[in-house]
Amino acid sequence: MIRRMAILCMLFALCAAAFPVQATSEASWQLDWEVDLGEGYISTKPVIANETVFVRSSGFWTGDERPQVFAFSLEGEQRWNRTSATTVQHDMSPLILIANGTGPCGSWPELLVVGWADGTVEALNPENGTLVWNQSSFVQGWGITGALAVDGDHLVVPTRNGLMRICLSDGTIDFDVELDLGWRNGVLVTDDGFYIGDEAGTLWHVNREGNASSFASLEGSIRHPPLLTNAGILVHVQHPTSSAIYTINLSNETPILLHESGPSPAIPSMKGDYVVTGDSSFLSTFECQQHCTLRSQYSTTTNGELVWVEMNRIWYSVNLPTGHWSMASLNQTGAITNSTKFSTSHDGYGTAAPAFDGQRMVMGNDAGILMMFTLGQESLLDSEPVISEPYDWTPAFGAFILICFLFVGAYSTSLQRIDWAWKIVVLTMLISMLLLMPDLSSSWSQTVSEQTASEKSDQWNNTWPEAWAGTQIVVIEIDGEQEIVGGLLGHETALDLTLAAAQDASWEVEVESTELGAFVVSINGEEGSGWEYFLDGERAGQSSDLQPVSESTVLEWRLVRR
Amino acid sequence: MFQAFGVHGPELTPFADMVIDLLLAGIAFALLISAPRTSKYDVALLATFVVSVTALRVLLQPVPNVQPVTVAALLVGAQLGARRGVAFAVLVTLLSNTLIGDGWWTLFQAIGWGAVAVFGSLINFGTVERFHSGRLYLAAAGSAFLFDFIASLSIYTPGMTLGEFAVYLAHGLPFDVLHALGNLTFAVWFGHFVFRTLEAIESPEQLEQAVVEDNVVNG
Repeated sequence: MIRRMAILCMLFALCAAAFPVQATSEASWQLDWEVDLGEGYISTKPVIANETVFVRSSGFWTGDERPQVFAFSLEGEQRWNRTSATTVQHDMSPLILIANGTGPCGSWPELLVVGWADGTVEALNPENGTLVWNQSSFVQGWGITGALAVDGDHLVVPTRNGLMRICLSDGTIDFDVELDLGWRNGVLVTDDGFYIGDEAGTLWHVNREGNASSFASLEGSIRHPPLLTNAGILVHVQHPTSSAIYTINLSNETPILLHESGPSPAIPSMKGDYVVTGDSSFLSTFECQQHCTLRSQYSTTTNGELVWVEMNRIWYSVNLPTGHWSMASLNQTGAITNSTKFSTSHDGYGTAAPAFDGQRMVMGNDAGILMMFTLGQESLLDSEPVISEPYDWTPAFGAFILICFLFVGAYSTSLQRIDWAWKIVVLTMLISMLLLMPDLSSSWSQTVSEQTASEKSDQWNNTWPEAWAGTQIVVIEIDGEQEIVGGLLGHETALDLTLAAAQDASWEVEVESTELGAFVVSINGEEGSGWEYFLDGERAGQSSDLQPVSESTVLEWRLVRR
Repeated sequence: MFQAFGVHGPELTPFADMVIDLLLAGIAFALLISAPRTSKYDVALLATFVVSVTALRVLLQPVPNVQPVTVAALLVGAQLGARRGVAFAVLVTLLSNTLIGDGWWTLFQAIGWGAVAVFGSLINFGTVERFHSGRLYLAAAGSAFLFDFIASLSIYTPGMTLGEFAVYLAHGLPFDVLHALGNLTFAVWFGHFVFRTLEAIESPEQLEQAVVEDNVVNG
């Protein structure tokens, strides 16, 4: 009896040891002020400098509103704003503040440089927002969407179809090289030139004379500035339903697959020897010495910017309808030890990271509200995490119950009660299968969809405007009547695309969260006996928030009436 | 008659819905009265079993694709014969779908569980004393795939290619496996008990055998 009790106690101790300990003290970031930027998303992180907060918005396109760049004082008073009347959707190129300087191509004052989705690069006076110079670039659907970079006395601009280098003093073009089409594809500046990825998965090298060559060909899309690590160039390549992280050796130009992860990658970020990547499944950390090695993964959904705070904190936005910001803590080996939630009154979808300046933190998400927080007496940056997500005990409890079941099954076997052992084992298998079902069915559907993708038919309708060609189109069909919204870009899941179309067309979409994913309950108040959706004419096999969509797709929602 | 094509195949008008329900009820009635020498006691026990399984199905409806009806239809078919097995399957489908949702798919579910009952009637599970539990487990798991395939035919609509239908079936494979595992669980936990309970109702074949033996003995 004592031996059995000892075994039970050991089991409990093992289970208890498996549960992470989390801090639970009060939040120390306090909201100082918030400003509604009007109709528009905040898709990229603000910049804090010179006692000023600079932030940009991208368009909802529900009315006459247009994307803007704002400057606010640290007290939240607007100093100036600048609107682009000609830009198109998705102004997500991060703002870049450049200190004044002098170089062979001239002298320049301090500049706030803005890359617009209409292909224009504007250098503004950060004091008052007036234009210092501007330059145009190629537009096909959109223009500049990636991160710009400074190269000495030049600015390197990832254009829609290539790379442009311009002089900081007056905006004159040094070279403008044509590569392939890009999206959110920022540029990496190195000693031997520039590296930039494109939508076809090619990683380009461009030297300072403007000569381009293909450095590596990776299947998928590269939608971020490549990173220069000790092990080579690191890229996170986007696939339709997954992603892959590669390093490419600088000397032999051989790509090495480091890891395969979830869909819709975030913009990876590096600090010292450590790299953090994100996607719709995980936040992952890698240590890059001679080779890059996966250190840890944390289950979350993050598709935008990731920002390091010192060597052991990473802030990221959780891009979900109930999204928020979170801060992952890393130990000395680069492994994520825990993640703490930072919730605001404007939680929701978001891709922009917060910006920090000493005791201040400023952030905004798709709600378009800019929020300034200041630290209380307890410093988040210097202490342990202070805002904790309540630990979800459900999986641990479920695992414990299953272990208990198996234990009873084994015990029954030892007593020669094979019938009872069978009963327990089968019941355990059924419960496990039920718990695994949401993930299992989702992964399986994605696999089946990938295997059958080549059989998809073209759903293009010749009556649609030519401008919609190659874009994302949403069709809502109620009793044979269709409403169509086209020309949408950059949406990564069927639900995102649907909500974007709904905003454009002022449809009301009611979405309910279930164990198997998001469920569209009604569109414009119509519930019928359900809504089903088709991608390029194929019936979708999973919930719309889990279903990736391509850059050129026709998403059709049909109302079912019984 | 059909209003549209939707998630579950054609969307029926209320009239069409009623016609299908009446047709199924008629088939169940015809099968029951055609089964020879059914006593009032047998009818009461079968009716109780129909109501119990219906209630269990409704109760387990939130659990994805765990279907107690499949194993029940299998065992009813095995113990009471194909006709009463099919009648049982049709009645449970009609009653439970009245509560959880009736439509075009009711027809295919009734056929599916009816087929499972016929399948059960073809298998020798032995006697209460010498019960072949292994056969029941295999048959229970297999009948999940049989039922799911037949029920899936309700989605097949004009214009859908065989390839598209195959993709639809492939998407549902994890749920088929879950159904099979659920059946196995019911069979392991309750298979022998249900088999023994149904023994109280003598099958037509047993009744005929008893009459023959009686005639021979009393000659």
